[in-house]
Amino acid sequence: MARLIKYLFLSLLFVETSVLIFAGESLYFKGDYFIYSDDLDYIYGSGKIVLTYESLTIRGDIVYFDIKNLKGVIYGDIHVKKNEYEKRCNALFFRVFPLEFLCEIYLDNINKEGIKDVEDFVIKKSPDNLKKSALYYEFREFKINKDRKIKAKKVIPFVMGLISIPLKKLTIKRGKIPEKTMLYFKNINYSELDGVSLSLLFRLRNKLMKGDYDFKFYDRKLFKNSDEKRGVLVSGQGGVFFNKNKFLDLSAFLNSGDKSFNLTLSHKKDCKYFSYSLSQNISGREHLQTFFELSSNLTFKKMRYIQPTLSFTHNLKSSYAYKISTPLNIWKKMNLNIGMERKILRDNFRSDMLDISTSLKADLSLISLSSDLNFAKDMLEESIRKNFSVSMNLKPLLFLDSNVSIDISSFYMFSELPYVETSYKRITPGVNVNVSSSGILLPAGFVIYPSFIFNQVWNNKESNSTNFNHLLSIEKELGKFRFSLDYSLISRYKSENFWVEGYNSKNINVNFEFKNESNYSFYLKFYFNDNLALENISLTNRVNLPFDITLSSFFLFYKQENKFQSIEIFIEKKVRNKIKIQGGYSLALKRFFLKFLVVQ
Amino acid sequence: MVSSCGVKPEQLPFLSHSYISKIEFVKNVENIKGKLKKERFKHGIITSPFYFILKIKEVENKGELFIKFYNINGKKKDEKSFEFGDFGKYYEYVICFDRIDKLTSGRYHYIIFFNNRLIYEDYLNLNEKKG
Repeated sequence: MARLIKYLFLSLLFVETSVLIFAGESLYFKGDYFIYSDDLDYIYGSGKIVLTYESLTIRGDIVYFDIKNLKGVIYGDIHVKKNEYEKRCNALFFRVFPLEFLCEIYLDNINKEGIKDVEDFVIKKSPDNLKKSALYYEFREFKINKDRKIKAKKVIPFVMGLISIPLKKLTIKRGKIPEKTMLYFKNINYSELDGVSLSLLFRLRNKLMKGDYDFKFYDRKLFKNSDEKRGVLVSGQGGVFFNKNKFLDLSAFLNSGDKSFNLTLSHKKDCKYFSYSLSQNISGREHLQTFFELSSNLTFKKMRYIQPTLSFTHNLKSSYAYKISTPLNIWKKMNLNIGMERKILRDNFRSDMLDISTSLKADLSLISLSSDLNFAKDMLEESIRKNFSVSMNLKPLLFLDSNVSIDISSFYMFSELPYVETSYKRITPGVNVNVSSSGILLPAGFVIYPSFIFNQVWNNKESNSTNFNHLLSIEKELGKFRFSLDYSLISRYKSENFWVEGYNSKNINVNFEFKNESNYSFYLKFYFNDNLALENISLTNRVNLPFDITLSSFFLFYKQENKFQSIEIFIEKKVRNKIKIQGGYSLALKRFFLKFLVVQ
Repeated sequence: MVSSCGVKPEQLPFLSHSYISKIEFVKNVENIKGKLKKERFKHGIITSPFYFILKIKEVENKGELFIKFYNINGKKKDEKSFEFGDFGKYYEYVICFDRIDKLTSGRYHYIIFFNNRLIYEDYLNLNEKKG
């Protein structure tokens, strides 16, 4: 309980504060009623709507305003006035900034007047939709600027549907972070992973350096989440500029918890005949040696069909690698790549490998083809490894008005590996056939979906494996109710010289589903095992309650043991699309639980 | 964040204007003892003929509602109207539904007038019927 009180206290601090000053162009709206949803980033307004923008005034009855896309529509007996210009219409579609609009009058035809490329389509969110948000505001007037910062007057905030204290003025949306050097407070948060955390953004903007760096200070001890103490995570990216051109890219990561860091500096340039890049990476962690690696890349661009690339990497321990590759476009649908790479490692482990490889890819009208050939020579042991593979996929063959589809693919693999003083060769050809149907209509509205998969692999000609997979589904939908029966038969055979061994396994699932996507779903499943005896029954339910609260449950009953294997019942609430609160009972945990999860 | 408090109740926002709360297009709908029994289109693919169901909230006194369908060239192709309510009465919501069977497949712009004022418009894609 104390943990919950602490959480609720912290949630009051979630509301992000703003240190920005309102400036520049803005739209001013006034009316009887406006509602803004924080989650949906949307405003609906109604009753004596007045929109003022510079010397332009628009009067109407209703406004739908999509803040995210900065576009909206006003309905009613619309009156547009700018100096001497006056106009009346039924609907006025607008976009900002600057304000541009299109007027429409609906008689026997639609008459349009205004900026023609203003789209007469705006996503509509009714007050009912907006009130489902965890946090929403009602107010009577507001200003919005081009950074989407909203300042409202006569405001009532609602948290989880509960009315809060009315306020005379409120900045309800933060807007864009300005392009200047500043330290910006992002939020205070709580999660199981980080405990309590404070996030700041350091924005660096000057002639020489630019970048955004996130600082997250965390305390995992406050709620006894972990034995680990307080710490800071720093991550960000930036650049060093010379004569307004970016000279160096910089990316940095630092974790004071496990005392690790990773820093990469890179420089790249695109010239007329070639492009190059240079990159230095330094990373380290407590008790481990610092790692340094220099990478470079040079590409010649002037040749028509090929672009040879030379890559080189080197670290402080004299381990290095160089690679030359030449992608060659024979024609649009065929690509050949030839490459050579040598890797020399002189660390605790010594190795020297020379790798020559070619790959060919073609995408033709009937088939697609992919082939790889690779020779790898160990320069220390003078041994050679060879690999060759080719795979060919036939484009799907369609029959009976595209209702039946046949996919055929084949492959051939060859490898030769050094083995003591000789070599070991392995040849593996194979073929896959997949026949499936998009559904055959049966009497009484049942639909049947048969499918068949065949797979054959000849492994070194000595041992072969053959697999068959038959699937058959029967479905019937009746409004919100759906019934389905799935039958699966899997056969696996393996032959080795004279002997053949294998097995069959089959199962049946009988499923009943009853759902209304926006309100509830119930899913009952009966699973019959290989002997076609009932093995288990599962029931999964979800019911949406008011204020975006969901009641979910899962039951799994094992018939043969005559007991419940799993019972989970919990309610879930999302707060500002960032945190999930779950509370309920779990048989697996054998207790009631309360969880706070961060929505990724 | 908070600048100051002290707002008079009459200055507070108040939702009194009628608005369309929900609009649905279904294959069939029946009013059975005041409850709607809907048959939805399979996979949400709307074909002709269809029924539209409108839910309008915050209704006072008598009301007259029009729904008009325009084709992509802006020409009116169909129209339905409803009259409901009594003077001096308040209705939390009113539901109207009717069948549309004149439209062929295509994209339509539908608009809703309530008491001669536009209160809603949107687009409807009407698919070609298979088989």
